[in-house]
Order: sequence, then C-alpha cells, then structure tokens
Amino acid sequence: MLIQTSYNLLPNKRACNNGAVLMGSSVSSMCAALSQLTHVKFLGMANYPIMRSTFNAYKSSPYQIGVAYPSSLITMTKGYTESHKLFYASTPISTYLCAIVVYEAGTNDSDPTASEFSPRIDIEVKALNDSGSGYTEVATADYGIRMDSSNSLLLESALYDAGRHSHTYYADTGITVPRVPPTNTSPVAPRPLYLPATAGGYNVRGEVVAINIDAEDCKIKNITLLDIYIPEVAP
Amino acid sequence: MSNSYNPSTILADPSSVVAGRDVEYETIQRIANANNYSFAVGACHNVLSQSYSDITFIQDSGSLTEMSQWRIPLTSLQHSALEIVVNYKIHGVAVGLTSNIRFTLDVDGGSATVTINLPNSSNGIANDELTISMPSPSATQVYYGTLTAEVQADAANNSEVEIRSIMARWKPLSSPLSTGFLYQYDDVTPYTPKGTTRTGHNQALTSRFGHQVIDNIELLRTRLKTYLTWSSVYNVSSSIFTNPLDGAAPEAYLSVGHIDNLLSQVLISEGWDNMTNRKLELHIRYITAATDKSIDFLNNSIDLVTGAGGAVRWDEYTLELDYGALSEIGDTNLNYYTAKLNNTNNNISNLGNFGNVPSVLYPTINSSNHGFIISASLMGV
Repeated sequence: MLIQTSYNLLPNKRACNNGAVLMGSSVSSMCAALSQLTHVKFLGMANYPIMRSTFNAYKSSPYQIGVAYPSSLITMTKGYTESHKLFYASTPISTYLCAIVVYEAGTNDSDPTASEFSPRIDIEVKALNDSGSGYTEVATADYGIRMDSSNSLLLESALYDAGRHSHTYYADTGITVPRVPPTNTSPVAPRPLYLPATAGGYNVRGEVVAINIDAEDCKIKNITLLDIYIPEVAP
Repeated sequence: MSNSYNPSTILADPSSVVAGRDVEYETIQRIANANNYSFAVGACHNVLSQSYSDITFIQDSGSLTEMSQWRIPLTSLQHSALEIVVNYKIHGVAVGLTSNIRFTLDVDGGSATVTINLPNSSNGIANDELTISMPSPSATQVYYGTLTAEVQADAANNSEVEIRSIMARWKPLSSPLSTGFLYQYDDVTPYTPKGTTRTGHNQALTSRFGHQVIDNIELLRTRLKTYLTWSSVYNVSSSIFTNPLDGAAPEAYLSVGHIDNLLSQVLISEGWDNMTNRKLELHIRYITAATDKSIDFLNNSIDLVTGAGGAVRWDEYTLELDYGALSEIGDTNLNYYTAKLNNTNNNISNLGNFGNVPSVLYPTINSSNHGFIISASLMGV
C-alpha cells in the first residue's frame, strides 16, 4: 500500500453518527491518516551538533573566548583523525537511515609537507544491550559506509577567509534503499545505513543503537540521522 | 488484549474498505492498533542529541557543577521516563563511584533527577533513566521540560571527566495502554485508547469508535518532536589541559560560526498550514540586554525580549515558514526544510563574532555578554 505523506482532510465526524451510512471512504481516510502518523510523522530522527573548540590564537590570552568561528582556527594537519560515538533511538519500524554530514575539510595548503589532503568518513552501526549494568556494544548491526573524495567528500581548496562565514560542505548517504539488505563486512561506498531486526541475537529496531564515526583529514560539525521514508509498504 | 498494540500490524490498508470489497475485520483492528502504537511510541526517538569534540566538555571539580541546559518537548503527560545515554572519557584514573553526571528535569514546577556514575574508561557508555511525576492535566498545555546537566570528577585522584556525546529519549509506553482517558498536553482533548479485542468482532464500527479515532488522529498530529538541541558548555575546568589549544575551550555563545554549521531538517508535511495548533517553536535561553536585539533563523526575524540587562531567561518564539524562500534538501521524498541561522548582516553583527567577543564567559555576566544566546532548541509537529 502507498503511504501518504500529507495531513489529509479527515472525514466529518457526523459521517460516523448513529443512523448515518458509514462510507468506505471515511474508514479509508482514517487508515491513510494513521499510516501517515506511523510511517511519516513519527519516523525516527536525531540531529547532533558537534561542538568544536573556540580556541583563537589571534586573540590574546586566555584565547578560549567561547565564540564559534566558521572554520576551525586550530590547524588541521594531514593525517588528522577524530572519532564520534552517537546514539540513535530507533523505532520499531526503523529499517534504513539516511545520514547528512556537515564537515570542514582540510586545506591543501595548510600542511606544506603533504601533497594533498584526503578526507574520509566511516560510519557503522552497533547494537547495544543493557544486561543490568549499563549499555555495552554487543554486535555490529551494519559495517556501514565510507565517504571519501572518490564518491562524496570535497576538499577545501583555499584557506579560511577571516571575517566571512564558513567553507562548509555537506555529504549524505542518499536514500536509495538496496534491493537486499547489505552483507558487507567492511565499509562500502555510501548507501543508507541498515538496521536489521536483530544482530547477534539482540534486538536492534526499537532500541538505542550506537553510531560510530571515524573521520580523517576533516572535522565533522553536524550530523543528521533520519529514518528513510518508504513510499510503498506491504500492509 | 484490550488497548494493546503490535508494531507489526499497524498498517490498515485504505483500499480494503472501498466499494465492492468486503470489509476485512483486520482493517478495523489495525486502525485500533495503529492508534495505540502512535500514542505509545510516536516521537519516542531522540529528544536531545549533542556531541562534543576537541575536549570541549571537561570538568575537574569534585563537586557537581552545572555545565549545560536544554529545552525538550514532552511526548505526552503519560510518558514520564526519560532515558539518557552519554559517551565519555576519563582522563587520569577515576576510583570508586566519584565521577558522575547528574541530570535534572524540570516540568511545570516539578522536577526529577538521575545521577549516572562514570567509571574509569577511555570511551565509555553510561546510561540510566529518570522518572518524573507529570503535572495533572488541565486546560493549560504543558508541553516542554528543561533539562540541566551537572558533572563531577574524581578530584581526589586528579582525574577529569570529558563528555563526548549526550542523547535522551522518552521511553515508549508498553503495551497494553492503561484504560481510560490518556493525556497529551492538556485535558481539553484527551486520547482514548482503543480496545483491540472488540475491534476483532462483528459490529466493530460503532459511532463512538469513528468519533474517537478521528479525535485521536487530530490529537496525535499535534505531538511535538525535537529538531535541534544546542546548549553552550559553561563552567569548564581542567588541570590537565591548561592550554586552551588542547582543550577546555567550548562554545559559550551562539555565534557566526554556527551559520551553516548548526542546522537540522524540519519535516513539513502538506496540510501543515491548515493546522491551528502549536506547530514550530524556537526556544532560546539568553542573557537579556537593555537594547533591542534580533536574530534571523529559518527566514524568521526573531526579536529577543528586551529587559534589564543581565538576566538569564528562556523564551519561546513561534516560527512561520516562507516556503518559496526555503530550499529543500533533495532526494528524501519528504518535505524537509533546512533550519538554520540565516547568513544575514543582522546575525553577523548580533551573534558572537571576531569583533564581538564578550570579555567574560557565562556564567559570569557583565555588559559585554548581554544579549548573547546560550541555548537554543527547535521543536515542532
């Protein structure tokens, strides 16, 4: 069945009064409105701003001024790496996630010893389980994806122009759902992240999962994770 | 079972009740199931999400020290358990149970706290939940809470706590839902759970059933979700990272650097304009200024409340959408609009920037940081 995306006009309640002939369209409208709630409005989502240092060497001591600048004023050298562990509360019907990444790439002239930066972002999904003493990562739900300059990431080509706003780039996994669930055991080219029903015998859907991110030659500033809307679903 | 739900049978096929086809009993049962599922589970995904890099969120104090505060929407007055998960790192070695993060949730005058212990780890996960007594439903809508984080380090052993990410979600209600009316934000429009046993029988489609399903759908359409939660980090302290180049230099104020970097995707389904309820709100915590100040967000010009300079307050601002001027991100099949600070001269001059740097860090307040924003949350239907 098709899942409608809009808040449709609901039937007049008098159509449900005693004595009224209840039309199929009234019930049909209720069905469609409920599918919009469960499969559109209440799709899962998480939006992570990632706080960066406000150290500013151009200001006098104490330097940590609390004001965020468009791009980092801490020099990024080739080989720079960072990791993030984020948590996503999936819904019982979550299946594929789109990730939208905001990042700042290294410049190709900030490190004279390197020929060129090569930004890379790996994203994987881990199942969590709380056996009474807190969450631990218990299984890999999706070995995930690798974004790099061959498929989705751009390289900063010029140094930050002080006083102007940022050279910010965006990359995403896309929303093309694979025909069959992915089975890769190492990161592959960008595709939606997969949430299986279970991983390693542990429930995944409807549970909190860990989103592990490793980045190189770039700094991540914001990540949005969205349950992907599937237009047609078997009832 | 009465008032139960099962996530695997929530889709009622609209085409199963068209002319010429038998009404399937399963269709009506699924309507009831989807009703209960939506109330119990809907919007129980992340209600708070924020992450920290560059060792910006660090504390060495042995006393619980307030460091951040957010506004979060409620799912309903029945959803009272808030699950919180943090990723953290202990610098040095924490001994015993002395490194903690404590969260306090305030809702309409009531509050609840949970203290989560942070044992020694270089990449730890810690979680717990707090349960708050929600206010009794009344005609006045109660739809948000204020969450505060305090951190305490094992100072006696010279260890420090670095927080790397925080998430929170309202725990879904378990099946079956309790009997009787349930309340979302007020008692004006209660939610009526649907008995799923009765809807498996003949004569399932009563007048009462139809009226209540329509009322329930209208109510659930007004349930709020979080789109963006950002709080500054204050009171940071570190004896290990004494050079701010290495750490302890967090974002203290909303700034020009957040333009194009601090953003979210707002889902605006068609029909949104016809809704007359609360639809999209930006909650801002800021230090008041005696002079007029405004910011531009999602193409809305927001006039911050003016008052005696130096007070810290939360305010709520209703946002409108200018569809024509807003771009949608592509390829999602849904109407997502990118919500962020606009790149305007007004923002560049009013937000923190290279030429507009307060001389003090909040919670210290003087005239230099009057009018600066220290938290922002975007919530909508």
